[in-house]
Amino acid sequence: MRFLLITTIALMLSTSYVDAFPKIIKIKSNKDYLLIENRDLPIIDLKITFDRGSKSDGENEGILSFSVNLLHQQLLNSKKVINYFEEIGAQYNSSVNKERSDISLRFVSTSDNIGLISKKINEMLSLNGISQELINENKVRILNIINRRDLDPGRLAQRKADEIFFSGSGMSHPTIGYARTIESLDTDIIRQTLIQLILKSKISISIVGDISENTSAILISNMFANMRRVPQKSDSPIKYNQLRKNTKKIFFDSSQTHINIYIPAIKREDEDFYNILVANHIFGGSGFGSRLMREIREKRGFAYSIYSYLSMYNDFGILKINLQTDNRNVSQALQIISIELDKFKNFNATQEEVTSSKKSLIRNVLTRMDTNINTLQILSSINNYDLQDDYYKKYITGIQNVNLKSIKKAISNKIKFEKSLTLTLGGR
Amino acid sequence: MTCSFNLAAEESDKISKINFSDRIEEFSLDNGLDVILIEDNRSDNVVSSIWYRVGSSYENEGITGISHLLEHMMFKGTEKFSAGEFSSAVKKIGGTENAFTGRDFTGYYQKVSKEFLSMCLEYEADRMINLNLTNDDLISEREVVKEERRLRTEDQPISIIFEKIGLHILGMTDYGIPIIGTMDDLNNITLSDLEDWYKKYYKPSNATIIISGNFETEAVKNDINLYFGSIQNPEMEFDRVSSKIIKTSFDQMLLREKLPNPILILSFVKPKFADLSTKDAYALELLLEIMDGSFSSRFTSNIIDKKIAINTFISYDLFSRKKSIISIGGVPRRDVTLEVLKQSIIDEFIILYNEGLQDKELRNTKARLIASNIYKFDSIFTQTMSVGQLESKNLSWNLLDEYVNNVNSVTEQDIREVAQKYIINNKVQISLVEPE
Repeated sequence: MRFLLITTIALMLSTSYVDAFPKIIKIKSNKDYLLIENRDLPIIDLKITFDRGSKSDGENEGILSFSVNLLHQQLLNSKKVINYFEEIGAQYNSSVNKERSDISLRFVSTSDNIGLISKKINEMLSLNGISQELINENKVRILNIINRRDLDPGRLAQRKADEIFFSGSGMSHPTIGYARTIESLDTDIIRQTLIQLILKSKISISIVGDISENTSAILISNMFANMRRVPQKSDSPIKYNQLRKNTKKIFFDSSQTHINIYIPAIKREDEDFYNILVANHIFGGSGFGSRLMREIREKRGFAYSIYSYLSMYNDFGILKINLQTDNRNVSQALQIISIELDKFKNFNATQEEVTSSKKSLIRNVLTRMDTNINTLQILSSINNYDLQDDYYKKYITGIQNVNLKSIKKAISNKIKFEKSLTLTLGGR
Repeated sequence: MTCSFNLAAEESDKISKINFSDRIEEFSLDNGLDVILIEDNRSDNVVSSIWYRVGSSYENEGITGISHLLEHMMFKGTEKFSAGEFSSAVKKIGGTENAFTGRDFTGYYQKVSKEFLSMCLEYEADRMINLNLTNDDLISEREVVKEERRLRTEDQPISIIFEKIGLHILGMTDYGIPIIGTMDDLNNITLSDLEDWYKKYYKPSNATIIISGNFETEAVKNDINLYFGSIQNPEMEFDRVSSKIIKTSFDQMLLREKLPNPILILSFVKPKFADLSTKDAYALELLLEIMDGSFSSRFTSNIIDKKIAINTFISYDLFSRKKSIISIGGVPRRDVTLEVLKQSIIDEFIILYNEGLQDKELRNTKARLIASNIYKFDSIFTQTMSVGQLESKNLSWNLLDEYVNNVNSVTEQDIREVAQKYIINNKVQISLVEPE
């Protein structure tokens, strides 16, 4: 009875849900600069996203990640940029994925700190501290990370799956690169890469926290003061249509075998995004109770972690399945996944499952936006996908419009099961 | 509720107002169940959690990993709620739930919108006393935990190394016991073992409910009374004291693991928090932060930047309930021996002891720790975890509010003294790890 009551309440709430979301402000009407003001805590979270990722690396695989990693280590007046940040307790992070690069900062919201952060970011992006010595030192560090990565079965399996699935495109290599490509990097090309990133890429900025729109505008203006930015269009679309169904088995001395399955699916802007999102939630995207979790972990104890997720890029997307299991259980686990994939193809879910998943997905967005850090992550995604206008409304409506029939149609049209890759890595 | 700030207030005032004491309420029920309510109205969410004072440090050889295995079994349902029914309900309302096991605690939590708090409390009360433990569930869940051990320990050389060091120095007791348990013990734990563990530790007098977020205080109190008030403490006493002699050693260890580079690890035993003076505790916190807490630390400037090591690390548990290990180490550069790296690390502590701190070093380090302390308040989950971990170790959440003052009170001389006492003059165990 209690759960029936909860179901009813959940239904009623979803209709008036949009009002509960925090307001997104376009800073000085710029659609690429977004702010969610939250004065509860004296904290500001800031993320700068460049629309260049490792797929632009060309022959110098790993160069963008390597170069972005240098930014905070530059010397300014004999002191590293990161030292200036840490003196005020600011936390700095940078990351590079296949399509984007980020710099993020969290700091206490005093006016002195805002001034210092904008000034030091400006100096950092001016690249006056990129030296041969810094590059050489970073090579030693990155080469060590690369060597360690290749001894970790989970990371190696993902690397190998990417190399096969994206073969021949800029997406195939690991973001961090390979030992041979990192060793060959020189100062000129690194400097050129950073100049391209900072002056020629499109930048989006997301801010959450204890700061007004006006102060945000000043902060942004100061960060990019005296820079002649001329954004240029990003890379041409990636083609992957040459792929056929593929199975790859790699021996690796480990107690578990890692299984990675890639199935071509949809990009974020696809009209069937919400259909596939709900379908994946039921299939393996929602943890306990999802089809994969139930069959592999709960019933048989074959894996600690098993899930599926939508990995979406500008030009296409992938439905990925990931698990690790004792070497002795591999064939059984693969057989179960194959059965579940067949069920997924025909989408034999019940109306109740679809309704539950829709409610869960709608409510979960708001539940997740309860910290500045999580809010920044969602705001940044909204920014990157150019979904600024009516995002929450579109999201809720999009999910509400999903039904069994529309999901079946979307799976049939958009998920390319016949072009999947199954990679296993393990042995002993 | 001091988490909301007056926009017109001065910046420093704004920062100093962040604390727990103005918005925390604690009480106990007649059956001994402790309750801590932390009000935070920044969102409509609430984290409902229950913490049992049991973890791997309560175990002994033969049943290591039993606290963690029981944590898994706690999701297998009761007569009232079948396995997966509650998880499904939490998922449907957009909430999240999980559980965790540490050395001193086993905890369960749900993060949900405030209107569903009552449902969570009802469920937790039910599984505190009505858990269905069956052999069929044990057979499959044991395999899940073994897969977790393979994933996180067996195939992770660094985890294996730290497990071996813990057993070497502390033995198969207290903080030396691996939280996930040994593979042998996981294979041998019986349903009867689990039932005993459940009856002994899962009772009101051994638990703390911690709720943080947006809630109606009176309604929550009523619910807690309604669901937990009538639960009795079972009279179940048993002691599974291992008859085996605990072997410990400070001898040097030479390990071979599948790693690309050698690693040096220096281990020092730190007394439990209750045995440290306040001055020593926070001076130690600052000392280790100064050494390796950030890019601005001494290890970065003097060991990494001077091409002695590729990376360095320090790990320790300030608030440990038992004696624990401070691990200090790093990966040497290709042309540097482990001996040179060892001496460089020790020298850093000796130099600090002899020469004291550099200009602004203490001020900047304190600023980092205090800012990190502010960031914790961004999340009701982090607040719950901070309070829960202390309470489970029989320490008070008041330590969280006292943290800034305690850090600010530390002087240069205090730091020099703890460098001498806990590192320079302390017994050190050396582990050398060579690539296979």
